Formats: sequence, structure tokens, C-alpha cells
Amino acid sequence: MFGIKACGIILIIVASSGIGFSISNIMKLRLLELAELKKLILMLRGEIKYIGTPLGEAFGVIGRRTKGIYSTLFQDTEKELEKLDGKNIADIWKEQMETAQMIKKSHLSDNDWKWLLNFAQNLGYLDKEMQLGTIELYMEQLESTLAEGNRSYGKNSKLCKCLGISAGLLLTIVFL
Amino acid sequence: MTVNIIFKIAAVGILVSVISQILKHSGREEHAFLTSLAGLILVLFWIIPYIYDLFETIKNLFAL
Repeated sequence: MFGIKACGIILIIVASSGIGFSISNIMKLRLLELAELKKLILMLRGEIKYIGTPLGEAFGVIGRRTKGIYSTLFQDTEKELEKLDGKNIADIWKEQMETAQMIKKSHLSDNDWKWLLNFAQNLGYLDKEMQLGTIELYMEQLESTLAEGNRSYGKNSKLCKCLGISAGLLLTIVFL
Repeated sequence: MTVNIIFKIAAVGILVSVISQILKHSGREEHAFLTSLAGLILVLFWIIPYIYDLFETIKNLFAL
């Protein structure tokens, strides 16, 4: 009887601590993915600004230079754009974001997704300057999200871990 | 009444105060208050039967 109880106690504490640690890990992964996205957007800006690569081709170049979750998105968007079937980039980007299974694999928040989706809305509009302006705007948004995320990560990460362990102990006492 | 309940209440008190302090330090005063309230309600649920017994005993003692 005591053995079963001890097993239950250990399982509850381990499980709740695991939840706390995994939430903290998700926060960390989100920040890493945002930083990767920022790097890719910087590369996209460089491709358009200094090399003058067309948008579709620039997507392809960037997609091939990354291995993360964004690689498929950028490369598939390039393929869709090359088909020239009259779709605008916003629709293609949205479709690719939904079909690339990125949402399931990624740790970005809903707000991050909305910003990423909005980014493409004005990207294919007007000329090169407009594209660069849209990229700059998105970069600023990304930077502020990253700064805010980094500020809250340290605090929230510790909080999640402590709460996970404490909640496990509390549950053990309640069920004892 | 076993002595276990006293230890349980003490443990809940310690844990709730720790959680409350952690939440307060991270600027979540509302959550800290809710945690304390939840702890209080939990402990109250445990001791209500004993309080009921106490009142019943007093009633019987004075033949009310």
C-alpha cells in the first residue's frame, strides 16, 4: 500500500514539474524561432535591397539557406509564385502557412502568427521601396516582440518551474 | 480526529504562502490572492466536519 502511494506521489510531482519545465521550454523555443525569423527577414531585406532579387526568387534563396521550420514555407511560396497563376502573395503565403504544417511544429504564439500573416499582406504591393518598407516595419515589430519576450522570459521561466513543483507538492498533500 | 490533518493543514499553509510569494514577486497579485483564497477554502472544507462535531458536542453537553 505504501509503495503504491509513494509511486503516486512521485508520479504527481514529476508530472507537474515536467509541465512547468515544458512550458518554460516552449517560451525559450518561441524566442529562438523569433530570432531565426528575424535573421531570415534580415536576409530577405539584403536580397531585395542590395542584390535586387525578385521577391519570389529571394524567398527561394532564403528557404534554401535555412533548415528550420521556415525553410518549407519560403521554398513552397517560391514554387507557388513561379507558377504565375494570378494569385497574389498574401493568399499564397496564407495557404503555405496553413499547409506547411508549420503551425503544429512551431512554438510561436497566435499574435506572432498574425504578424507573420500581416507581413505578407503588403509585401507584394507596389514597388521595391514598398517591399523594403514593409520588411522594415515587420523587423521593428519583431525586434520589439523579441525584446519583450527576452524581458519576460527570465521571470516567467522561473515562475513556471517553481509553480510546477509547488503545484505537484500541493496536489500530493491534498490527495494524501 | 487524527493528528495527520494538522500536518496537512500546515503543509498546505507553507506551500500556499510560498506560491503566493512567488506570484507576488512576479507581479501577479491577483493570482496570489486567488491562490491564498483557494488554500483557505481547501482547509475550510477539511475542518468543517470537525467544527460541526464540536458544535454538536457543545449542544449535547448543555442539552440544548
